[in-house]
Amino acid sequence: MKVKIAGTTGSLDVEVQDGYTVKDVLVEAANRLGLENPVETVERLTPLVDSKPAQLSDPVAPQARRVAAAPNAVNG
Amino acid sequence: MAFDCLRHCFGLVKGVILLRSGARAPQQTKVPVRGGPVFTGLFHVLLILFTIYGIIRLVSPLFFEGSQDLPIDPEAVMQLQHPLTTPYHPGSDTIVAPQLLLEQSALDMIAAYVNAAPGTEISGFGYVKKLPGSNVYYVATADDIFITEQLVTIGSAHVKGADYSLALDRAMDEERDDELRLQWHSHPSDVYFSPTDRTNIEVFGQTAEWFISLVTNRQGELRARFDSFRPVRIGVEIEVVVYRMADAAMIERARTDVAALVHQPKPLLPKRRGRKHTTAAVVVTTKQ
Repeated sequence: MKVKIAGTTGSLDVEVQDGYTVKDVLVEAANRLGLENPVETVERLTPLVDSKPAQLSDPVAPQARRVAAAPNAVNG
Repeated sequence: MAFDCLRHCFGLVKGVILLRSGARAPQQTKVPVRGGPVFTGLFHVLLILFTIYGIIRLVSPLFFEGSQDLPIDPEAVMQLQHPLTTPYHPGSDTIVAPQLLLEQSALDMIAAYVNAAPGTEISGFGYVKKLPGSNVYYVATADDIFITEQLVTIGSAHVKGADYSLALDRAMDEERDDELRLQWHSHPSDVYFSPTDRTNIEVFGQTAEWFISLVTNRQGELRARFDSFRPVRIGVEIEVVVYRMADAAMIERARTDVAALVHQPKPLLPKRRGRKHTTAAVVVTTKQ
């Protein structure tokens, strides 16, 4: 499935294994992107699976096509 | 010929000096010249000046590329979709600090959002493009500025990750997700990057390669910063330049009028061929 993390260039194709959660997919993408502290970084993100809100702990459906994830934006 | 010219120039100068000193000009010269040495010298001086003028006209395009006869090409303007700026030439002394160019309508869109939320802050996003071969980033149209759902107070604006992700998702549909790199917000009065804003930048930097932050207020003051996180961490306040793209109809009218009404003196020397000009009619103002 296609994975896009906010602020990165391009998107990644991640092969979903059985039992993968959204977090697993994002962590794998974060590792491939070379992000520091991939697990902590991913835990700050809110994912969207196929344009629908999701939780990091949600299992990835076999037919899911893409994940977009971004952090909160807090200004003041 | 050249030697004769010089000899007569010298004769002219000598004649002038003699006349000023009250002395008589020599009665006889080595080469009898019709009209006397003064007029012959004057003729040769004019000939030399004319030759120098011709040489300057001939070589000036080499030094002043595009300074004459600039055709305005509306197609080039439309294709450019970005303002003319000084490109960065690797190895040159050109300043390479990043610069943000905001098209006037994009700035107006931000101002409209800010004024539509009186008494509170507001934040939004924008699509940023990078001018190829430069360190210049630009927001081209009002359509590139938008907001998402958010919770605001007089001193904060909070966009949930889900709403930011939704914007990212839509950007993917439009194949513009790589351009979603501007985050702007308003302050009630002073424009500066508060500790909250700087923390937000660091949070974004955990995933982002680079992005641009902009803060504004209802008075229209602006400040922007560019943050790059990989391969090296750079955070720097950048200049914001507001520009206005001329529309194609206006450019075409100007081109037609100039072709019909504006005339140039006939060139003394034939024009060089094969030169191409690319120009855009752009009005630029700078806001610090």
